[in-house]
Amino acid sequence: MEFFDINCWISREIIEKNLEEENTMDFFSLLLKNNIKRTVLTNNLSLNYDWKSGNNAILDFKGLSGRENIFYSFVLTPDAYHEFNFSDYLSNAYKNKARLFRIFPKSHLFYLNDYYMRKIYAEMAGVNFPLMLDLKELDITGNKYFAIDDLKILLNENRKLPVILETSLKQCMFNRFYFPLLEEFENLYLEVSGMLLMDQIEHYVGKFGSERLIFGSNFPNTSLEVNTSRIESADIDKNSKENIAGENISRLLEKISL
Amino acid sequence: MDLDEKLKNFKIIDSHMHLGIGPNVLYYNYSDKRVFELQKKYNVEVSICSHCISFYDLPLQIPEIMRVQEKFGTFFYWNLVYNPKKAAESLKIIKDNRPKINFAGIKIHPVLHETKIDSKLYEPLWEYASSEDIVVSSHTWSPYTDNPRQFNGNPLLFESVLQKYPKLKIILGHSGGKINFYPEVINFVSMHDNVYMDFSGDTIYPAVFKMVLEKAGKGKILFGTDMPMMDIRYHVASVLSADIEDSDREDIFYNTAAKLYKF
Repeated sequence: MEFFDINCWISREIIEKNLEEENTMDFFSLLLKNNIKRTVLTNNLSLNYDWKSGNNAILDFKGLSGRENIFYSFVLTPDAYHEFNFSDYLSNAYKNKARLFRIFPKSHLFYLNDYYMRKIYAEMAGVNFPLMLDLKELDITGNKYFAIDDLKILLNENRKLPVILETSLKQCMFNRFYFPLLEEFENLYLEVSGMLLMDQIEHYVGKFGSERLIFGSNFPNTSLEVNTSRIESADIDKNSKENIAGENISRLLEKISL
Repeated sequence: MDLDEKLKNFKIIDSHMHLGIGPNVLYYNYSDKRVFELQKKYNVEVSICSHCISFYDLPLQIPEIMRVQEKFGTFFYWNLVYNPKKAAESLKIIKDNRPKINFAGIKIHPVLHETKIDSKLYEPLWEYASSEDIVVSSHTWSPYTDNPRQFNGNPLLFESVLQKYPKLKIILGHSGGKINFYPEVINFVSMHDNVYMDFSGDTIYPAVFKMVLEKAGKGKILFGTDMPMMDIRYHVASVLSADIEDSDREDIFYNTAAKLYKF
């Protein structure tokens, strides 16, 4: 089974040096070993230092350019709207192989439904450009509540915006949060790397089908092999596994109209 | 990775799992049968279980255990729960029921019971477990967390307990639970012969097994899942993908627990 990983975190160190934990295996060999044939990479620097610097820097990493199977996700803040002509920013990002935008409202201190962010969402929705976000990043006051209502506002105002929810806060991955959202919003997708509950993937497929689950590894925070094997060993049919492994995200990216 | 193929040569003891549900653990369509089926499918021969109800209602754990035992025989062995705020009742239930069930050991949950590991309220348990050579498995968690209740389960708090009760056999459930805390816990375990680690829970980190083997030696790790909270497939894959020898995998999956629990 071939995988398309949309949640792979990298740094210059990971790309340009051998991976310490894997000793002799470089990053690209590791992807190959795990049948990850296409990858969307996010630069750690975009989250931990500065979104703009990180987005620019990843394009200059040695060894990345020219690889057809490598794509990028750029991190955005509201600044992207007033510092740039956002339509141009979006087009240029696409030309530079960006296929997702990610936002981290808590880490970067902005409100999910900020005035500028609303304009950004609207432009992205106009060209079907996917947005990826993490539920634990939505409540910016730091009290750990999940701000589902804010997410609902975003989803409701942008019914054509593909929104991929990543799931790194395990406590959020329970069905009571997600079942109603999936029922209500067809533009909501879930990235699977945090779906650790017993049979959770099977339950989602059983209830909603496999079309809205998308493979992500959350590498290097979690193991590529462990995450790919979870899909391979899932008690779901082959077609569903292929959808999750890569077909769903491929279809979603084909719809980008830029 | 083909889990079935890779697991062919291994048998497993799951030393940290549960049956039942919890108030904030939102399983969908939970059933004991499905837990059992998944465990069997992935070569688990014995599971050491503390029933979820045990943490909330001590007497009710016994009929639940009896019910499951009748259905699944000797597949499940049981950790009976000690609630430090109900010490006498806990010990009476344990003493009365040990001979009647597939008894494995005693479970404590310092976070759910809001009692620090080094609290005097655990003294009756340490006395009893030491004198009877009973294994105690404790929920443990990193103190580097936003949740102050987890401070109660800091595994390093066992230091003073073990000084007083050096023969106690302790399993650090989840081993502190956080990657950035593992080095401290491993260092602690390396200094105590009778302290063991399980990596059940929501941190899936294959590299940790090699770290433990290198720094604390062989025979310190037990395989645990925390099912049905977590899916066994992640934990099986984590051990199978670790950069360690197959003989170490055999120890982790089965041998260490079999020796500790005298199966």
